[in-house]
Amino acid sequence: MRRLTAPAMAVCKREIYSYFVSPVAYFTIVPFLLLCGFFFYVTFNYASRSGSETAAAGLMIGAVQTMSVLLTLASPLLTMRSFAEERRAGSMELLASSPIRERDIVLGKFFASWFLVGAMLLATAPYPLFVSRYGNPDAAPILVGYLGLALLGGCLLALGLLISSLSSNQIVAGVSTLGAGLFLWMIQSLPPAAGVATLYGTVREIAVYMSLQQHIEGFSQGDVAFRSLFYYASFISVCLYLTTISSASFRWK
Amino acid sequence: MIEAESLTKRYGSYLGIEEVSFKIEAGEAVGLLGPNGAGKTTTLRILTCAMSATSGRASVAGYDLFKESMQARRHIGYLPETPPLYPEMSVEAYLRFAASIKGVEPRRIAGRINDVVELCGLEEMRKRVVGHLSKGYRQRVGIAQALIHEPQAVVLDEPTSGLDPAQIVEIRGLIQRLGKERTVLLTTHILAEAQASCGRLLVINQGRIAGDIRLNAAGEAVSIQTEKSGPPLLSEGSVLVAARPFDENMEARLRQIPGAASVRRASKDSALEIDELEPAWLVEAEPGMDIRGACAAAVVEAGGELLKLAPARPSLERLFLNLTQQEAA
Repeated sequence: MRRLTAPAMAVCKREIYSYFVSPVAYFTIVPFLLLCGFFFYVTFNYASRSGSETAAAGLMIGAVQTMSVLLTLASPLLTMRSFAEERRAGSMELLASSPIRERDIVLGKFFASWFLVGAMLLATAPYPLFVSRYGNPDAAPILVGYLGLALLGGCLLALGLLISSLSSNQIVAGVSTLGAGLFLWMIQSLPPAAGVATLYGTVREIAVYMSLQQHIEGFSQGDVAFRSLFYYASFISVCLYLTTISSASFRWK
Repeated sequence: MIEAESLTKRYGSYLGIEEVSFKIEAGEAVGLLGPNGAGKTTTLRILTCAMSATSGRASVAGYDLFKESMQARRHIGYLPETPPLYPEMSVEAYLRFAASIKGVEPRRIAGRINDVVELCGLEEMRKRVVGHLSKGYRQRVGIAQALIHEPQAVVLDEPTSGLDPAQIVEIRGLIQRLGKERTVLLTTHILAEAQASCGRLLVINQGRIAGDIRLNAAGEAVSIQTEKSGPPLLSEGSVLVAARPFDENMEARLRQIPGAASVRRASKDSALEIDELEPAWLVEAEPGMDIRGACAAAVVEAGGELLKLAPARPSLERLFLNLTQQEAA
């Protein structure tokens, strides 16, 4: 990733500043951590009762997948304001009349929200550390799982930014982002096709590939698949590119 | 400094502004005046790159707004109608952000913040959160933001709207101070405001520039150009002459005065400040001519009584109404 330009860095810092002086950051991070802790406790408890060796290994796989769903729920809170609120409050005019490129605005906002997701994920580090105290899980799948979560977060945030840039109402932006995120999660559950080469079978295969959260499964097992990396990277790039266009359209209206 | 050439903006089928052209020299303070919905904000937003135009071209400090947008934006400061603030930030953090996205060098940012804070009277508010400030202070923060990168041209959209009288006086004072160093373009629909802060008024009506009026230091109109770029309607040095007898003969005598460009009977719709009861002639002077003495002499030589001799000053209110109503008809 290219280094951020000075104006993009300024936007990024301002966004992070705003996350922490307004309650947004806390209202996102705290419930996320509480829920992570709760699910972790439940699965850990279950695993320790069954007492099998494989249960301990499966523990983190489950945790990563749970976190992927929690991220889907939490990320709209981080991005819903980004463009919608700037448009509503009129601060978009400051950005629009300043010598800063559209791309820098979008990248600045994206990295600020990604930084927050990174902080959220980092704050869950005690869980795997806790597991390794009592069991002996492989480090690789855990690290790869976190990499996957970070990329998934990036995708959800880029999608959220795009949707926020289309609206001037943060609630509309937030709810639409949540809906889109859940949709991308659910399309992986399309039932398998009965026949061998039906049209439905092809559609299902594409839909499953398109599901952001489906790719987490591989990551959680320590498997860095090129197709998953490629999908996440393209998803982020396309969303950010479209956000740049949509944000520039502020001038055409 | 600021040039607009045939700027047109359409919002779908609705016309925002049409063929707006004007030229503002460096150091001028110009008021863009017009009724609500005339296209003032649209014009400003185009000039500050906050909006694109449908057609036409414009430049600021010699940089084309559409082709060299980034350079142009470095030379223009903009206060939109609603100050573009982030309510959760402190005044200082906000100004630091504004400075960095406007390309102020990092080592100069602290100094610039001190300068604009002092200029805008924000010393005691530096650490306060913008969202907790009164409207007058928010407006000042908005102006501070527009000045932080030392732009050559400052564009202010309704800088005093919604303020109380004391705040209006303060903001006007601030604008006048700005006008001494920079080119200022502001919009308003309050005539007195424009008169107090500007040396020139552009009257905009239904998306078109209806008139270009120059004011003297006392805020009186000294020359007027209407939309059809004809000669100035009223040149500086024009006088109103009331005399007895008020007849053809006397009018003919006035016509013969060297330096008198034209003589006509002043009427109410010529938008002059005249005593309605008293008939008078409006004698226009050729540029640079002082014809007052000659007028007095002509009346006396013709054996008449000179009742009044006064500089012809169009009433700005009448002028404004004329310019904006003719268009509507």
